[in-house]
Amino acid sequence: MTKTNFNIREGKKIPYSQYNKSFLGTIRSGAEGRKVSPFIYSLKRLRNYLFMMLSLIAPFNSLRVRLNRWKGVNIGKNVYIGLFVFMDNAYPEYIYIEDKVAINAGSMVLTHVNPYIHFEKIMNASANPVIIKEGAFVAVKSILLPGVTIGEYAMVTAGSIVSKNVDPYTIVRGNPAVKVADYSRRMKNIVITEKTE
Amino acid sequence: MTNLDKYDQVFMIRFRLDGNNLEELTYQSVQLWDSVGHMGLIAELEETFDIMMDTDDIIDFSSYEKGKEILKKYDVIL
Repeated sequence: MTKTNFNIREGKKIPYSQYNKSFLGTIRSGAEGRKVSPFIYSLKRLRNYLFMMLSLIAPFNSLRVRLNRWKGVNIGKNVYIGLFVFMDNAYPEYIYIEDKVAINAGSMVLTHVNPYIHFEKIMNASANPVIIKEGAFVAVKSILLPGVTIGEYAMVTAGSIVSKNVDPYTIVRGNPAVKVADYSRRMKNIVITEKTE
Repeated sequence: MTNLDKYDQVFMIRFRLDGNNLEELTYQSVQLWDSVGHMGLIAELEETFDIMMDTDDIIDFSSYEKGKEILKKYDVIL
């Protein structure tokens, strides 16, 4: 089976949130940030909203995966996405899920942060890719923050908040998630055995 | 450092213990020895003694003392 490869996008700056935006103002600034026409942006936003709502409650995994792909999320083969998994709705194209990944119920994958303009001097408004590498496992109610990479065959335990990259073949837990086990020796051997058989 | 010292140290570091009453230690008797902590413990013991435990042994590894018996199977004399 060939491995799915993605061309990973670079992170980028996005506009800060403005106060008291009207409906049209929201559309206009969103379109500016993405360099598309307001009409295209409105359609895309509406489409993503519908796909997101359906993907949260779709009864079958294959349907949830398909809806997220339609939304723009990059998803490889044999991926499991649980119920109520929220994938960033504004920048779903920044999410990369490689083959054999499982993301369990209630987890969130976030790719952007756009605070109000008054935080301009202390934090950037940006969209950054979240990469979940082959075979990784994200347990229920975990949150992956923008810019993190979950290494190959790594495990994120239930309710963890991942703010830094996770090494391959490790387990992380907590808020912020920290490494609690490294099973690289055991897992690497298992993978080699599979290949030689 | 003897094998027993290494064995004790894995428990002490992983579960943040001071080394007293290690013999009474059983699975879930301390907060950090839960299912995830158990995987970390096994991974570290395998690394320390350069062994690869069977799945049945990993499940049977329910206490500090039981662990000593299991390690004997892998020619680790404590």
